[in-house]
Amino acid sequence: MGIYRQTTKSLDILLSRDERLVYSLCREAISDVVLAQRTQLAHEAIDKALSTLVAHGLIERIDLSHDPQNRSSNSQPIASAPDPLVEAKTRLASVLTTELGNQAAKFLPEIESKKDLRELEEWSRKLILKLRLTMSQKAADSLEARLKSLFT
Amino acid sequence: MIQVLLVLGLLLMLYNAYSGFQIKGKAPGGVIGERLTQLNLLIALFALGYLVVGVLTWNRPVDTLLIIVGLILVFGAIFVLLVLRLVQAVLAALEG
Repeated sequence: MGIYRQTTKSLDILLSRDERLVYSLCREAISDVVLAQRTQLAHEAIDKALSTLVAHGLIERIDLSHDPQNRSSNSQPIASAPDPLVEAKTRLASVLTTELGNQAAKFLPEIESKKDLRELEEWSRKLILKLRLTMSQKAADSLEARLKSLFT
Repeated sequence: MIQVLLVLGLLLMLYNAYSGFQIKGKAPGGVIGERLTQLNLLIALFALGYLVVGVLTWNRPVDTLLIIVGLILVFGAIFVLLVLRLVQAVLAALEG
């Protein structure tokens, strides 16, 4: 099992759908096992996406034994101790990336700027309205259905 | 008189067409985007209509009916302008 997270390198190449999804989930340190659970992709697909992203320098594998931040919690992977807000942000980002593809990138900084769950939920509802009116009704319907499970 | 009304209507409609396509860039899809596509098509047709009416009536003697038609056309252009302003305001509110 490996833990991965995004590097500071900016995203300047075109990624496949799976790679984009994995990349967005790697915003926070996350294990390949949790990645497989969240994306519901096959392990081979996860491994392939991870190796491509690592090769491009977009994500890095974290060595927990040398990472001072994680030394104290070495026995437990970071992604398994979830902060509800971080969890919600990650899932919302992955949902947006899945539904909107590259257009989701402009919403990601806004997601990151939210300070609590309530604010994030309120913003998400407004985003659904905005999508329905100006971008895609289909994406808005799909996002609305997924958000119900995210915030309930 | 009638020529002034028709030219005014045509200029307004051309401006509407320009605004309509600009707004469409801000709302490529969704409910507003879809309706704007139809609205822009109709604006283009109306602009063409103003031009045709202007050409066909240019040398005709002015009568009351023609002036009424000219006024309807000008107020039609103003109506479209107001609709586009409303759409712009909705988009601005969504951005905010």
